[in-house]
Amino acid sequence: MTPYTPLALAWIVLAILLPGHMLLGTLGPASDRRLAPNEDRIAWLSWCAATGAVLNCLLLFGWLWAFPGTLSPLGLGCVQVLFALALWRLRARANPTPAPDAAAVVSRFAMASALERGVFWGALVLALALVVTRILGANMEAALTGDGALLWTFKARVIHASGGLGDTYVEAMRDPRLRHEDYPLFNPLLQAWMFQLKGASAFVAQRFPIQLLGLALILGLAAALRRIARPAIAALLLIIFVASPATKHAVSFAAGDAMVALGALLATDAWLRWRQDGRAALLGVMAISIALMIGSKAESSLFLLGLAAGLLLVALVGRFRAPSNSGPKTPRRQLLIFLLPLVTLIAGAAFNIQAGFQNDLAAGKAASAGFATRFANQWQDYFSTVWSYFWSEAWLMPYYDGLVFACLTVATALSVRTLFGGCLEARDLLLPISITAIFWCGLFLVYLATPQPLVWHLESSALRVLWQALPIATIALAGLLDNAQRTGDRTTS
Amino acid sequence: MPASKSPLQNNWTRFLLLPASILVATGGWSALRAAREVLEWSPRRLASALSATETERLESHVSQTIEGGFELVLELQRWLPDDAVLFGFYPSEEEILADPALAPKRTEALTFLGELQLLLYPTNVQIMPAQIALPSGAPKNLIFALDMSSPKRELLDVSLEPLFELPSATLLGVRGEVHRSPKEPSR
Repeated sequence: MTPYTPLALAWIVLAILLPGHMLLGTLGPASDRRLAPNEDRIAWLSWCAATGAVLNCLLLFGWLWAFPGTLSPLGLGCVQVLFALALWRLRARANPTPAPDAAAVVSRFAMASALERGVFWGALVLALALVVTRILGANMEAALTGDGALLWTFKARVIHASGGLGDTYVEAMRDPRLRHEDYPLFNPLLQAWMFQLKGASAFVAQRFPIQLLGLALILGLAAALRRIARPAIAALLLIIFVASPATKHAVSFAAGDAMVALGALLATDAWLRWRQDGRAALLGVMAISIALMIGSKAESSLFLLGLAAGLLLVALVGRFRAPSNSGPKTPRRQLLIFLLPLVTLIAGAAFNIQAGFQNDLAAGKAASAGFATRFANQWQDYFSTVWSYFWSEAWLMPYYDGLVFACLTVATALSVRTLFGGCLEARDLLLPISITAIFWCGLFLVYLATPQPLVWHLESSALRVLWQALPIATIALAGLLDNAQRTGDRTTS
Repeated sequence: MPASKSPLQNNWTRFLLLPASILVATGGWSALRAAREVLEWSPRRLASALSATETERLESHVSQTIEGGFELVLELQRWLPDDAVLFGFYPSEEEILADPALAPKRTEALTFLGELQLLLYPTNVQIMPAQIALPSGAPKNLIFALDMSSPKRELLDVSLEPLFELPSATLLGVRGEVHRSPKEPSR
């Protein structure tokens, strides 16, 4: 049977998008305007996918951990339907206020010429066509090689064969063939859900939910770019991102990189939107996106560090340089939504502690030394190799990222005054820039302390992992270029 | 004073034309690459990509890894019990030094054995010689060896000597032919 059975495909899309759609409409206080699809339809689709994925993953995680061996496709389907109905009731009771005019929200886009908007739509169609054809191409092969298969799909098979996350799973994961037993579980849970639906003989269909999130990443980036920059700049950067071979790998197969990149991108974009718009519901989108990031891959810790540093920097700059305009205030009660990522983090850590799973990077492989000891012992020997790899293969490699990382560095250096003393919108770009910078520096340190053979580790993962920060770097660069262009326009007029 | 009024800053921001120009160049190049990649998809290729079954995709994948691999997978799936242990052997570094022609065989064998780990799960597939020790508690009447490099018979016999003292240990060839099988295993 072909993996593309219409009924199963429709069910997967519906089971992910519908709960997301319902929940997004309930976010924020009753006094605020609710979020609505017509504000930004491209972003909405992306938010729905991310939110629905988080809800389904938390449901699967709770069920499979608490009641291993009891999951059946019918039972799960019933719970998903009941869950969607409950969210629908909640949404109806939330009394949605009329949504704003779409043109008012994406005003910069609406004010551009028809030709320029046409260029953006053309770029978006090309980007989606490219991603869909790449997915079709990747699906011609079974998931048997690469990280997507040997790490994530394999783990999903173990969850499926063990009937959940109980003792049988914990025992099975002690097998040396299975690696990184401590990694977050959202990706294998979504794949295990597909094994439930399609049977263990599926070798392609289990990728679908992850590929859906890959498409959501492209939509999320397109929406973020068209909000932050004029359509021509957005179109250019969108195509550069999609054409990257690293993007091809990340969104075509079923590894966790696109998921963590999606979470990080949507969290950053939601924060930037909130700073302009002030509605607490956007902080809800941010919190859900952070939960997706945390549940997807361990690199989320670097993103969280970057996020914290960026927020601190923005707050300091706002306090000292522009105290009269330091951004919107939100009632503290609305910040309770951030319990969601916190719960995701704590639940994952609790599961690992209970199972006795350890991170090989932090604790060392087998009997080797921990991170700090390895760093102290290795950094001098490894520094030049890591530096040279980062410089020549990632920073100065047009084929990899269209030189986005390099251009962002140059643009940041040229825009220091705007970033620290400009308008709120310009100052806010400090957040994505900080996240990108800290992600690069953090990853650099990780390779200096790697427990793996260095060159092998760099070649097998560095570009793939650095790519996770590319969407955020892209929106930062778009913001800087757009800001400079508008500044230039104001000066000449 | 707003930063946008600063002549110094406006002078600096003009230099942003440099990264902007670079991005226009790389963006144009990326758009061409993207368009070419999409246009490579003919309706026939699209139809084939949508209609191929899971099994056809699996067969195409495994057969590209190693000739005859899919038939071997089917054979192993058919008669290897879930609680069996399968040792897969590939050409060692020493063998490749002695005969460099074996190098591609090593890559092929390692890829195929990795795929077998996933395909035969929960059957325990051990890629040798990385882990020569028998897994603790492995049922000794359900141990099999898969020889992925034919010139290694002698080495196999030496390294697996304790294993082949067992009455039912079985040595398989890469095409699935049984070199040595005292008795057919029972599921």
